[in-house]
Amino acid sequence: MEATNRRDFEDEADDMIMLYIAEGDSKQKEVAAQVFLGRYSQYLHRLATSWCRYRYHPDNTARDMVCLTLAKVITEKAGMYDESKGSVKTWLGRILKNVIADEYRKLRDKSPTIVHFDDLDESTEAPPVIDEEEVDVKNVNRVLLEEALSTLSEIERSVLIDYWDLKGMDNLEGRLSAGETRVIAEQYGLTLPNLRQKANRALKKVKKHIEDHQ
Amino acid sequence: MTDKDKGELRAALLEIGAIIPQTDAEVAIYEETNTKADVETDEELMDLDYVLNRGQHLDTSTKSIFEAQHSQHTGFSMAAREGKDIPEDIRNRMKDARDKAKNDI
Repeated sequence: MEATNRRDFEDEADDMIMLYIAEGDSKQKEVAAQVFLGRYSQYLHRLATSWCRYRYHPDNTARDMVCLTLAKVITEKAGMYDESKGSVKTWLGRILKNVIADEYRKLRDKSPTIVHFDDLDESTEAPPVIDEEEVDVKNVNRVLLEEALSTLSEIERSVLIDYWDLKGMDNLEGRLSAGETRVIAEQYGLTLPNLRQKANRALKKVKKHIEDHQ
Repeated sequence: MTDKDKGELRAALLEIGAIIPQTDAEVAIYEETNTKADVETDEELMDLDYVLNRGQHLDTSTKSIFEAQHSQHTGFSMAAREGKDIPEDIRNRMKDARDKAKNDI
């Protein structure tokens, strides 16, 4: 723990910056935290802003997401950073996702029925089975994907993105758990089968748009 | 749908910035297409006092940061818009991407 001025800290690697934030003296903590903000606050802001724009949250919500995430890192989590598990950017993305989940929980706890759907099949019958094999997204054209997403209602778009966000992670890292899926379902006031149904219907609309315009 | 297809869709969503990267490989995909120029620099987010005060205030608040958005769209109005009201920045980004694609042909 020898660095004492800003220039010393600028040369330090990320893991050392985190160590100073977690275990340095008050001056070291402060300067290391400033260096950390200089390195990563704008990256986090970009992530949060684009996330919000695809869900119609205003840009000031993105700022709040960033402040929450950065404050958690500086006051609680810096000592937990483990370079062997990924870069700081990756780690920050994971903390940001947890912040989002926490904020949706607050919303749900306060107003459990705040989000509704007008077209759900909330009957006692099981929802129709959607054959995912029919949906081919190979070589997705990104321009068409953005256009296709823009044709969905904002709720369809959010459900599709959030559901397939988890679904994709399932395949990439085996992380999808019933608990995580339930958080997404509850966030939208949906049952698990209806979440899947809604997401697949939206995906079919996307697929049709892409096919029609290719 | 195969595992490869699902990975493709996730990669596409990462590229357009719709989801948050969770691995180093995903950060690389995201950064390939999302540059610093996409979002205006916010100097206040580099101010330690501001970030800590705002972040800790929000953390202890029982009000969700998403509350304003939901109260703005109470009831069924969210589902009723059917994508008609696309934010200007996304519209512009789509147009730019289309123009770029045309130029690349």
